[in-house]
Amino acid sequence: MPLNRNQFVRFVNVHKAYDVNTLVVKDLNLDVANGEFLTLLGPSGSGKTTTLMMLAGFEEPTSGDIILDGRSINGIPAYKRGVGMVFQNYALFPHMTVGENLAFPLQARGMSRADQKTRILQALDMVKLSAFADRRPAQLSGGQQQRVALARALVFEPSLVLMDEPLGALDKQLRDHMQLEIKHLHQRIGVTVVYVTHDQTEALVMSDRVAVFNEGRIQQVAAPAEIYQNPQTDFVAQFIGENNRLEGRVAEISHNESTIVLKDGTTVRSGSVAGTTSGEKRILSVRPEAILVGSDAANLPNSFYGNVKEIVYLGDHVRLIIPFGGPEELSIKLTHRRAAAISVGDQVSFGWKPEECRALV
Amino acid sequence: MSTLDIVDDTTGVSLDRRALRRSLHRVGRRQRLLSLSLVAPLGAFTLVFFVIPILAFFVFSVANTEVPRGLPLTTEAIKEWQGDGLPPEGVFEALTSDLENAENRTAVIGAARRLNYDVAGFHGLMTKTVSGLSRGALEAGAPVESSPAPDGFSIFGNDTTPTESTTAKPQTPIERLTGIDARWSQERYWKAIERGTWPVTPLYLLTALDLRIGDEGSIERVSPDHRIYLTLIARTFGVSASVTLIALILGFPLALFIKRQPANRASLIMFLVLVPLWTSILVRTTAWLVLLQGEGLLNDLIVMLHLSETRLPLIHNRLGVLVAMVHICLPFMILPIYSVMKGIPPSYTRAAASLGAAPARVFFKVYLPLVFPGLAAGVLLVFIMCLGFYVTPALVGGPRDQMLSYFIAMAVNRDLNWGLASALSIILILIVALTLLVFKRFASATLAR
Amino acid sequence: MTTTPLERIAASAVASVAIMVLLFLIVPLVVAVPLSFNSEPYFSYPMPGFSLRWYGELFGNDIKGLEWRNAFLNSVFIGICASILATVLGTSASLGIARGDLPFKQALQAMMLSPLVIPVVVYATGVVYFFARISLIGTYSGLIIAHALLGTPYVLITVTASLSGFDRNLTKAGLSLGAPPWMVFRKIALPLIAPGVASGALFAFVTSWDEIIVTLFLAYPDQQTVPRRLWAGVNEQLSPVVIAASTILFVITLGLLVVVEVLRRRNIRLSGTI
Repeated sequence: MPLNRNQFVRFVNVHKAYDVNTLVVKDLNLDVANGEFLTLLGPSGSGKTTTLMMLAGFEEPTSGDIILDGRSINGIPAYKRGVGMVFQNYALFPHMTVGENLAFPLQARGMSRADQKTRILQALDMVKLSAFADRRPAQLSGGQQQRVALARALVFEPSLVLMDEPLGALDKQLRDHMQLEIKHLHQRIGVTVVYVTHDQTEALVMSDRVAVFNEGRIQQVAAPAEIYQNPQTDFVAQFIGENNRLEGRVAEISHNESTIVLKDGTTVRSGSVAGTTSGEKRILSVRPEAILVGSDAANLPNSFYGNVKEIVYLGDHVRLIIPFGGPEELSIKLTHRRAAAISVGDQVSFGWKPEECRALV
Repeated sequence: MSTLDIVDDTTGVSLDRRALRRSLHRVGRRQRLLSLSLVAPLGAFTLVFFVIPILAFFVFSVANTEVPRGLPLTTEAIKEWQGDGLPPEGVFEALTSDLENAENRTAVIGAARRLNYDVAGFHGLMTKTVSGLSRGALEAGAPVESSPAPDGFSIFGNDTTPTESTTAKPQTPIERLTGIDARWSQERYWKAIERGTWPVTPLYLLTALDLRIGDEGSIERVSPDHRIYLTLIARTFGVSASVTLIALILGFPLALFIKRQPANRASLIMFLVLVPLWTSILVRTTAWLVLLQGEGLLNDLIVMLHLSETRLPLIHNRLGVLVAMVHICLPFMILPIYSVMKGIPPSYTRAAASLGAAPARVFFKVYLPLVFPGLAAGVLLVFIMCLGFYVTPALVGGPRDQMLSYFIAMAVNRDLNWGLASALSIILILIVALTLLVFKRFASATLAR
Repeated sequence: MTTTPLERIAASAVASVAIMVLLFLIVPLVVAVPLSFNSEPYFSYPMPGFSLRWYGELFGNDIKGLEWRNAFLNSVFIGICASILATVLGTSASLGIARGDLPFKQALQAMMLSPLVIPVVVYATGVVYFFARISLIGTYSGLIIAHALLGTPYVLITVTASLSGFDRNLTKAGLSLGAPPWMVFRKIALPLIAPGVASGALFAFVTSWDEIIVTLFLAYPDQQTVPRRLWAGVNEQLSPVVIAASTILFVITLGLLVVVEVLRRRNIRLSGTI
């Protein structure tokens, strides 16, 4: 039994450097709850994979502690940690059959042949590959290999499973399907999962919580909806979903709103961010779908006029591109019906609620 | 105190670099030690049984121990000699004592052989002097253990018989020695002994370059009829270059041909290329003997077809050496060229053709530069292999076709001249090293271009 | 793709040169083979009759047959021992190099590969002096050590090549599944690099099997090997017995090559690609 349900895995002041000049992970403090699906999301080189490798035991932290189930695991070799792992290219043993691949962790634990057999069948059944035990990995499709890798990481019933971009090699359709399958599997067996990806959709679809990494630091840890609707930094707003960025300075602060002056003098009212002081440089963030057009926009506190520069057709919706706030442009998401009357060059009114807009660092 | 004093470098606060470096070092050290301990057995094996023997062998090229060992008293005494005129009498006396010392005979023979490398005829002079001295001693009534012509000198049996016996007993060592042979009154023999007492000698390296130390002490070329080694070096280089060129001319079309075959036939042809590679060099050389000798199959064919009235000399000459060496080297040329060709995607040449380049232009401007690394690797491999060839020239070449390796083996096995063998080896290794260096430069220059 | 007449001429020129070169490579190897079945001790066609007498001499119970068989056994014994030694040392070193964090990697690699470029006569001369000082001249150990040394670079090259195609994630996967490093090496890495190790071992064996120069320098007269007998046979009087022995060696070579080809195909099948 873990000491604290919310602290099944703990990173405490963890730093990681490969050489003296570059810290790959900077002062990482992160807790993972038991049974949680936590995703480490970030661009390549952000330190998310290094964090995962330290947890798996393939990298040692340069300083700080990693605690698993109440015990520090610094210096404990990977093979003694009992942590399951799914690799980017699956890392299935090519000279073994699917069954032998699954038997490998059980043999390493000295399990009897009969027990091995039951476990392997259960695991294969779980990923719907019962008929494939005697195939070689090379004889399977990408999606099937992916499921074998999952089954192999789960067959010895670890309490923690790590996944390093496991869907990266699949095509889009299969990826969408596997996202849900992994999510359901997690809900069914309740194992703790730490998942690494650079794909924001994947993170939003699958996770209980998302930790966004950039340049070795965690920018924000929160549930997917919170991350999307309430980004705490400019980077998070940019990285998750689509976003309009407007540079400006803080002019006025009231108890729950602040006024920002953009480069061309336009004033915008936005939701307040704690710790803001007057005169500070800030970046406004507005989602394209939060901007209303036409009569809907007329009575909003933030209401503007502009000329449509371009209309981009995107199948299920349409984008209007309107120059705004100086050098910048706004991208506005519209349904076909709403966009039908608008053509390039038209002057349109548009606007958004202050709470749909955040002034970020 | 679980954390280090590390601060984000982007915030401008300095991080504790020394502690970080120490910590990094500690993390990596165990891993590096494991890597090192995996490599260590082969590293030690190569060092002990390859590098050290070869380096120890190279020491022979300047080693100069024979004279001090064979003529210890003379070595000590000759230090007093300024080098003008004949050495003082004490040196003569010391030499007489050294040569009369029967217990040191093997070392004396060694010294005589060493001095003979420097001045031709010195061995004969020493032999004659030793037996002259012992005869003198016999006549004087003193018993001497060994026979007048001691064992070991007989292999150089030119001057073993003393020409005249001296009746009047000479009193001084100078008179005794010059009485046995007048050459002892010539400065050059004493100078050779003096050079033999140097801590190291340039003798062998000079000999390997057809040079010698003249009587005046300056370095000069040996007389034309003794010049063999520069020719030998040039020949080694020339034969290797010819074989490499021929192998390139023959190997490239074959590689190109294999590349254009369907996969199944290509692997069959590669099999045929590999069969000679894996067949013993001796087996292949035997086959060439059967084919090329005077009574051999090729001559049978030539006579049968009336291409020539007489049987042609096809072996034990340069032609035989070139043919057999090219046969051995060809697979080593074809393999790297073919493997590079296989790695070139056809899209490159297609792209060039689609841009309107004529086939010849595509070949020379696009394909050839792409294949170049393979050609360079093949040329380097074959050339370096050829430089060290021994077996094939020895079996199918004539006396004028032997290369450096042959002379190294001869110097050791027949002449027991380790110094010369070592000097020739150093020259051979230098040529190999120089070739590797030139190729490295050349390769990086082409890559840069 | 369409071809111009010029291209066709060029292609057929390449083809005809290539076929002639191929004949040059193969014909000398096989043309002497029938002569080993000649009933008379001559090296010319047409043969007066067919006979196995020269093979009879090789396998006979007189001195000559015994000598050949003794040489054969010596060659096999020295070759196998040298190959095992070279394979163990070379494989271990390749693993160390492949880990990527080896200190002095360049210098160590250059030293361990140097037997490839140093002319064998230079090595033989050096080693004869060195072995004389440590009493290894004329011993089997001396020959095995020297032969193994000449074979190690080949093992190093083939095993390093097969390791470069080895997915490092497989090792990590093995560890993450709870297998200790030794088990991961034995069950995962070793089976996957086995073809590279095997062909390295084969190269090392053939290097020893074919070695004549070091043997001439190091071996005592009673330590006969097959190359040494061939050397003597070629140097003295070429006899049909030597041709018969050559033929047998040639057939053994063909057999080994087939083994290599089978290994290569197996490797392709296992890795599933290319």
